[in-house]
Amino acid sequence: MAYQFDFTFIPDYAGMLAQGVAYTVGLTVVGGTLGIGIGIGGAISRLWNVRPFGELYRYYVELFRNTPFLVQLFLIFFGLPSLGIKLEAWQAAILAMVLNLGAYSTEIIRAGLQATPRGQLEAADSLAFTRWQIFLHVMLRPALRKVWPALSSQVVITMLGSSVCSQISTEELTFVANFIQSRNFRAFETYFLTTGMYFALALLIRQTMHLIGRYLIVRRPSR
Amino acid sequence: MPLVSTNRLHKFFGKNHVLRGIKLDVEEGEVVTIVGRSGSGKSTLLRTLNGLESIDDGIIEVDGAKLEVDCADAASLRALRLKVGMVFQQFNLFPHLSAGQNVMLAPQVVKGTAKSETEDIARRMLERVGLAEKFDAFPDQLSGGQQQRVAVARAIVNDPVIILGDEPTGNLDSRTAEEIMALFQDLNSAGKTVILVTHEQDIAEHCKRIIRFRDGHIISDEKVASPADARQILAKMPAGDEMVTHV
Repeated sequence: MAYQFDFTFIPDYAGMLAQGVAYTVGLTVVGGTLGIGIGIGGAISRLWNVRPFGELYRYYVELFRNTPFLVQLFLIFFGLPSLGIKLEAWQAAILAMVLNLGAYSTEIIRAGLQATPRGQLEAADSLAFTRWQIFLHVMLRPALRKVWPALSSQVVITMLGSSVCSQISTEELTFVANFIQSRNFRAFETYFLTTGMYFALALLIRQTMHLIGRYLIVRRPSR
Repeated sequence: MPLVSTNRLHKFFGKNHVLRGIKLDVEEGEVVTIVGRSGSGKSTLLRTLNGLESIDDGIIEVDGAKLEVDCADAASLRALRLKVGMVFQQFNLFPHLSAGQNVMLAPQVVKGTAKSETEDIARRMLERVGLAEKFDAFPDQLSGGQQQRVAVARAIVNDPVIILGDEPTGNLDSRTAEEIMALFQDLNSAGKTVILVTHEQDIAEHCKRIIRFRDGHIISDEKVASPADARQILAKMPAGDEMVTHV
């Protein structure tokens, strides 16, 4: 094999790569937080069939889980201006990620809430809890505890999916990688490095989600 | 005036007529046991008394809190449930909370009592059921009997006038069941009225009144003077309604 690997370009683009990573992390943190928030709201609405939200959420979840993320992104960035709603690339990227994760997390969290044993709901009922108090104090934490691994995976998938946002010139990691390889023509090295960075980011996000889960959901006094 | 009163109580599950015009009065300080075969409606009756099952006709009154078929709103339900403590066969503790937190939650959330105060109340309640040292233990770290004791502490924390037990010893061995029954008797001595549904003869023997249920009707209602008296009443039960006895 005559090809000579050359990674000497890395120091020249280190700052740009760091910015791309920061952008990707930022998109994931904002998208993940708001997406899970939407998921909790959606799960409640669907579980209790809160009118009109329960029905609206049903259509929203079906729409976003059965269409490609890239098309959703294009619809928001290129389609909405036709209706007079013009968003910056980063705004469109965040909105698409929030809506996409929101749809998946609605179903994930709903499954967790539905798995609450009937006996615990009856115990709370018998203690005169309101429906909202039951949700907040009896259902939510155990439900999130059950589905936290699935939710963590979905956040990682959303982070990986953010690479698609480079298609609308969002300056995240893949956008930076595309830019670098267009300058140095070192496609293998550039994308190999980018692959490693995404892999490290995925591990980091998974570990962060694990720690958040342990602190917020599984917290028990040490003994 | 009776503490608990139901009149022409009817309940249907689909076409199944489970409660057929139940009229029942329970006086303050009684320990009542409801016995009968599976599906006779005894648990359903108990569950209607704190609104866990809706009613299709009739009226329920517990210490002035009324529940009628056409005005079973949230406020009436809440008023009724604050008068009634319920203990379940499966304990139904909240698994993500410690024993202490299980007991603290209701006063904190339902009555808005300050956390520091509810902690004191919870410690007193757990001490009353003999589990003061298990305040920080989680349900999966407790035995069945201990879990049921915590469930009893949780049921009495809002100071209800009446305690309902739906097969409260059904998942326990005979010795632990005796301990739980002793706990119910202590509560009764302290002024609480107790209504229990059970399949177990040993439990029924501890009560002051035995009500026999069949096909949604009360078929007998007798005062009990002593355990021997209770055994005699239970021995008269028709075939198919026999009780379980611990060996």
